[in-house]
Amino acid sequence: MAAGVKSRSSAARKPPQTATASKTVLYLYAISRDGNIDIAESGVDGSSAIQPLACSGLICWISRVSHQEFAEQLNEHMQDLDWLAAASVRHQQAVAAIAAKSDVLPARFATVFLTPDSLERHIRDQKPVLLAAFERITGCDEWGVKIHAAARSESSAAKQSRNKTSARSGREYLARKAATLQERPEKADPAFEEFANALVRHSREAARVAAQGKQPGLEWQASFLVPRGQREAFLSTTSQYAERWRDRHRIECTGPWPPYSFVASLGSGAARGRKR
Amino acid sequence: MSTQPTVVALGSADENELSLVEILDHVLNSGIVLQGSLVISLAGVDLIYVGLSAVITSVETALHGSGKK
Repeated sequence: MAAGVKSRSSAARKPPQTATASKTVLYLYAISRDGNIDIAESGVDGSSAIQPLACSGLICWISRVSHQEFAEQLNEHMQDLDWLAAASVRHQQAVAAIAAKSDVLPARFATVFLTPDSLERHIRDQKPVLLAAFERITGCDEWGVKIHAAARSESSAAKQSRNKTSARSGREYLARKAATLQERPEKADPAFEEFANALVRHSREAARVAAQGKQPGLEWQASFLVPRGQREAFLSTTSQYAERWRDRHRIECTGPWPPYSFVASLGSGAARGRKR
Repeated sequence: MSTQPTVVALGSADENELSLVEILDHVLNSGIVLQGSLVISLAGVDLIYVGLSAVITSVETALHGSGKK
């Protein structure tokens, strides 16, 4: 649109905010220590190439995405649940593709840098924290476990909606959030502690997640950082409890995830009071 | 093995598709934050991070818009 801006004499100055559509920013997916892998997946915008960028001895996995879409208008897009749903799924697909080939610290959705220098500076500042995080998560995947009340057995329509991964279901996410806000949470069953302890035996770390008001019928939720060698034992324990509790609770287990929940409190001033 | 997480089949066989809620919960609520701020203006600051607050805002807006509490 606004191509052909004469800026030779003002190269040192910041370009105006009404930048051309071709201007890009760096979207961060994950940080690894190993850059010798190929990632075929496309980026969060559905078209950009995911590339490794060496930063202070670590590898940042980025793609160059539209400045307009991911910087100027990011706030507006974040309010658009359909856009958010599609982009979130692509973010996750990209991170999972990298995590399948290397241990990674996954970045939160919409972590955007305007320049490689800025990214480099943030990595340099955080490097001791990042290296410590690698020590914790290396060789592990995250697994999510939820306990639902079986009494609220789902209608086929609810089940269908739960299973939908369509990018058009942002509204559905909202609808579900709305439903949960009206629901009275039940008291957590003491047996859940026993279940958690059994899973912790096969985990390096566990993070309890507040289940209240998230999903209808959700009674308990936690994430576990599970060494890959312990995966079978972890899943087998989960299955045993699912079988034992089948009349009262439905256990749902998802994974393997990149260790999102175990790096969430890292970073400057990012402590969110998460309970460990 | 698939590189994408799935719902582990625990007795009931057909539950292997991941819901959007699971993905949103992971990528919006967790993952490393390189700077703890929420929204930083473009001018003079290189990093923009829009966190969960934006999503919460949109959820609340939608709830109010649909006449629910």
